[in-house]
Amino acid sequence: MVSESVQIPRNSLAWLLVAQIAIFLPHTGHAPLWLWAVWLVVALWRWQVFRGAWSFPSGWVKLTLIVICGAGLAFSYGGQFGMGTMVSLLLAAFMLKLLELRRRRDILVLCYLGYFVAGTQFLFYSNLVAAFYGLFSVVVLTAALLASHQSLRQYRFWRTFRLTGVLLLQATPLMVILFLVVPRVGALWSVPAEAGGASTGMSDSMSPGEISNLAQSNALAFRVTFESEVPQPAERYWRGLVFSDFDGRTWRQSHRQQLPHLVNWDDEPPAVWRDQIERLGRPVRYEVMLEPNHERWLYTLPAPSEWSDGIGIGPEFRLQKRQRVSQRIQYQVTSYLDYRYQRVGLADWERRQEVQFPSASNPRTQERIREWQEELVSDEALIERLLEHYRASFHYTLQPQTLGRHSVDEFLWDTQAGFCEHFASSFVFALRVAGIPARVVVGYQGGERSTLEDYWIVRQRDAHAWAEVWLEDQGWVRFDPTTAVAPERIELGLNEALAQDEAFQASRTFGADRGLLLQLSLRWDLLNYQWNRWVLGYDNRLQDRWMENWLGGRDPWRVAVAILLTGGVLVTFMVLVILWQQRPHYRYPADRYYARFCARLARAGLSRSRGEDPRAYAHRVIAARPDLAEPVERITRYYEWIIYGDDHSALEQLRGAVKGLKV
Amino acid sequence: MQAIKQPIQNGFRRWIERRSPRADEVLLRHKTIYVLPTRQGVGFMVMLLLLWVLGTNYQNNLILGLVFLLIGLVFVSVVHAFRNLSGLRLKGLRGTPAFVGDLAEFELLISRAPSARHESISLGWEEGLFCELDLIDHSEARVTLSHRARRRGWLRPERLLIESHFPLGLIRAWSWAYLDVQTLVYPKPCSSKEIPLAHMTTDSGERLSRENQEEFQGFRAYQEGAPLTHVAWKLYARGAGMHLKEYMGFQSEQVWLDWHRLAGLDQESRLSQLCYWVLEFGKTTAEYGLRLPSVVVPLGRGADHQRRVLKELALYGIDSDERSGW
Repeated sequence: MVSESVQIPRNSLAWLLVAQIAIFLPHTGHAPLWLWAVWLVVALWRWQVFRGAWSFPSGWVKLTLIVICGAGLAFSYGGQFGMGTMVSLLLAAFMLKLLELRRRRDILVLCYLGYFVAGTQFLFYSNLVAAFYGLFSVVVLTAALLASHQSLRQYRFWRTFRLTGVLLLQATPLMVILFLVVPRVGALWSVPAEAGGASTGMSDSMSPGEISNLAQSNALAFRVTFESEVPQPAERYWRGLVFSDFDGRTWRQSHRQQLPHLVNWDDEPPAVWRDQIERLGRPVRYEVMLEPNHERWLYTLPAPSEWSDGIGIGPEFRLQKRQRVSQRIQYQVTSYLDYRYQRVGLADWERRQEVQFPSASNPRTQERIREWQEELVSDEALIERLLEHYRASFHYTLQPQTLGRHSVDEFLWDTQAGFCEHFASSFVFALRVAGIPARVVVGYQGGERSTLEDYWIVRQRDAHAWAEVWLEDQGWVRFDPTTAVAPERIELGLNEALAQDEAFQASRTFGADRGLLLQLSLRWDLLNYQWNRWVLGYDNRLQDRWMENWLGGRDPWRVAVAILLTGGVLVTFMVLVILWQQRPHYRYPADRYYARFCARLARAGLSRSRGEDPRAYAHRVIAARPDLAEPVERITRYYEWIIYGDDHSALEQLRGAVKGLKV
Repeated sequence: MQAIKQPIQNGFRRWIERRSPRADEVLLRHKTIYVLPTRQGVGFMVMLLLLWVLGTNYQNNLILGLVFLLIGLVFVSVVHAFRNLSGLRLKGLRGTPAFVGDLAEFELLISRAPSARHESISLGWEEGLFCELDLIDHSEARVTLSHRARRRGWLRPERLLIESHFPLGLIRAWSWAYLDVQTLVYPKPCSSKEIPLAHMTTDSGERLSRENQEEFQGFRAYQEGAPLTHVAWKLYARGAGMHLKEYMGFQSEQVWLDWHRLAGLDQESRLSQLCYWVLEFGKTTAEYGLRLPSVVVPLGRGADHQRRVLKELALYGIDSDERSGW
């Protein structure tokens, strides 16, 4: 006789515990592990309370637990308050709330926290698997909420589960339409990017061995969809950074290259230096979907001429965002692969920057280059001489020997085996010794075409370093000394180039044969690509396109109509199901027609009272409406024949008589 | 404030009453079902807003997708909450009389359409006297609902509240039904110590004493229709067959319970006193009659007689048009 059950029912508690596990699980990677211990204690306690063995903890115990969790989190995060701290705090609250679970109302509060925490897992993982896992945890949590509103007497696991499925499925059309038409507002306030997002990728400096390490990773760097003709492999140099500063071992961006005010943003008028780009040939248009790499710069084919909003360009064709890329982004660029840049000459400071090197470093190289310079007349001849030197005895490997302080000396004259960064580094250094402006460019080269869809996959193992040399009358010219040793690296890609290298074979995920596994992996990549492109990357631009195609515009009234229409169709469908479930149930077919007859008379003010037998009813009707005597008498007789006389042949006659009844 | 609130409430009540007139059987349909978010449902929407801010700020489409899914869930659960009540058929079966201060009970028959399902429905007239009910496996259920008996006379319960927070507790669906049920509320039986039964005297002129009531005389053979309270169960248990205990005092007594002899008490206390005696005499075999200023119930005994007497006590001083009930 009491409406609010005092004890939380067993089914609901069990569902809740399962939901908590499901929701914590994805946070294990970043939340402190001791939170699990807290959860175990709390869950055990609550279960014992349920069994009646223990009582609810006193206020002091709860306070102690809160203090322990708070202090533990402050310690674990070193007092910093970032997104990770916030999520862990929510997690702790979500756990501790279990100890306050007394009534049905408390379950609701716990479930709100649960939905919120389940949402935060997408801040850390957002691929297809994470989405499905998130859906799973929402299903379990909703089932827990549902179970708390079902009575235990007629409780069945599958009924709860099925009804949860029905609820979520019915909610899906609305979700889809809201997802499609609700405008994305954009960040309300700027959030600090998470430092140290664990991702492999290009760094802002290059020392020997760094890129060859990267080349062993199969991780995705970015994907590209070409909207125009696809350039040849040898043309697909994806520029990232340009390094002009060398300390004898490590290449970096010069101080000047890092000056933020030299970046020309898209909302500013084009900078003067952009006039020095001469664009030749046909433009290439493409869209890049960049994986989060927690850096600001983007990758592009030279020379970019147009790009999406929110992107700026530095004087070395370095496209960049204002904030670090902490989530997958998409951007469009138009590039002219055939271009001349700074043909008229370099400024003095610029020339000084591009020929500087520490005078004490790599003495043997300095000495040899000066010797060559005396023999040779032109810059071009010197470059050719250098490339000849590589071609003669160098070889290309992913497992170069470790190089010491004078890395260029050791590489050029002793080990003579290395990866692209060794070639690029030594090449640029040598030219600088000869007074020729040169610099190192890092980025990616090539890419693998997805066999299933028309897009290109660029992985970390496609990381590459090459050189840019400034020549009189030509401006900046790309030289890739790696091609001197391993031209197939550029022509065919890294896999083929290193086919003989056993270490590389071992490090590859899939064998050299393009077997089933590779096919599967490509298919999986395609799925993820589509997911990223259309779901995670669904932004105002795609929304505009979609609304243009399907709603014919993006006026607010169209949005409203789309939402209302979806909701209306949904409700209509559900109401039809309800009506179907509540349809009257007739034991005999004759009852249906007789009920129709009664309903018609009821409309004329002669409703049949409960328990009135047909004969008595007929008498009453005829007494009130003598004009209906004949049909009423006939219908009643047919009905009696069928029901009492078991004469089913009269069914058709009854139906006809009822149909012909005019009241 | 009250001056404004009262007319609004009355107006609302009249509106509700117009929509759901009193009937012996009530079918819950869209016209009489009301749906609003619960306080928890409002809290849920606040949580959704926060989650939306999070998703927007981090430009995370999956979080936004979750928000939209949950908005859909709220929307869908409105329809489910409605469905859970819609199509329920309530019928008042009977009421059990009660004494003032006790709980009167009403038996209701609740049934559903053949293929519909209804879960976690609570219904009742008064706070704290709700009954929860499922119609899943069975297509109908009988429930006994209690109603506090506050006043003597006919108890016709006000609107019956049928509500449900199913499925997720975010939405409350409810309906009011005016069921055509009634039962009698008898005066609260209580004895005023100052007035001994002796004072009442009997028509037969024999004095009765309280001791006499308890005076056990012996056994006689069981007769059909004799009150079960007089059966000598101990004897029966020993295998001696059914016998009746005989009480000497009232064996052949005829007692008039007379309103006028209770001078010095107010109306309700007199009725309570009379009610008390009726119950006491009901345990005996004495014949008793009732004299009220308005009506006289002749001498008699047995359950029917007692009911008749109690009814007169219950309805004493109540308008005649209300006396009849329906």
